[in-house]
Amino acid sequence: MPKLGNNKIVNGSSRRKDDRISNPEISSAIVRLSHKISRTNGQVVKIGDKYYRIKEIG
Amino acid sequence: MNIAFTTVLIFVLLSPGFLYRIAYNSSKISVRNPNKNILNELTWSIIPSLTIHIICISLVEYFSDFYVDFEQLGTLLLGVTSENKVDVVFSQLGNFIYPIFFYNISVLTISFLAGIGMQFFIRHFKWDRKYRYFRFSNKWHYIFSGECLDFPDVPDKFDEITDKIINVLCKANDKTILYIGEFFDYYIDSSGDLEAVHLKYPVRRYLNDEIDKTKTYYNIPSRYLVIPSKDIININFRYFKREEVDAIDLTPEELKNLLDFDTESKT
Repeated sequence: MPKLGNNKIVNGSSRRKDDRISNPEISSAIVRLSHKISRTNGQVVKIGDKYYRIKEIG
Repeated sequence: MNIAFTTVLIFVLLSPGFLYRIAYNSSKISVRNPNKNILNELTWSIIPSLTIHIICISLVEYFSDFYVDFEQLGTLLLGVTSENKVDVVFSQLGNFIYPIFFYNISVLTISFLAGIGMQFFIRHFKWDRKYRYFRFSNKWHYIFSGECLDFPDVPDKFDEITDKIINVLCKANDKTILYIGEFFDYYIDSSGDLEAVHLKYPVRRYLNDEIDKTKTYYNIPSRYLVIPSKDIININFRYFKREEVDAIDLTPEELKNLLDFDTESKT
């Protein structure tokens, strides 16, 4: 069940407002894990104490 | 009539279109080649110049008592052998020098603003992404920014991108090296060819190490790395969409395949 609060509904899907904010810890972690992220299915990654669903697009 | 004067006059008449094209191509999404052919540029300026002049002349004649004496303009352009007529024409020019000056300054200002405005209009409505005809000359911009995802028949959208990761395959000292980093910036030369790629949080790995899975990527101890294009073999672009989720929202399969950065970085 999606949580209310700071979620912004965009085109019918729930997306957090702060996903676009650049964070050095997150960015460097994604760089170092990018080769393990599936090109088709995406991946859930735990960085610190937060979870991120990362999917390659395009 | 002196051909040099006629040439200068033609240049003055075409300058609105020339300035319009300079303003239209003034951003980083266009390649500014200082060695471009002036004659070619002036030829392309004919239609914008004519359009801008027609609009401005119409406005001047509608809102004021001034009008353009095309007969005298033709005399100046085509040249006249009769000295009397030349004297009359230049005498008229002297009488109206200030209106002519302000008209030209206004036309040049309007041309510049029209060029900037048209560029903004096309970028705002994303016509350069939807239609190839409106695409600007710096092709690398669309690739490095991810705007190529808005091209027709490409799945997903540019607005969904949260991270851009670039893999640069390089050759140095007879070794093939793979650099991975977050995209920071890129540099092109005056011809629009790539000069260098600027990465953030770079890591590197020798391509031969791909076979040996125990060897990990080496974290380059700097935040930024610039790779000159002469060392680059090819570049791989990866556009990612990242969204934060709660642990309770994860499916059992996602939990099973979870990548923990703290664990992975120690291996």
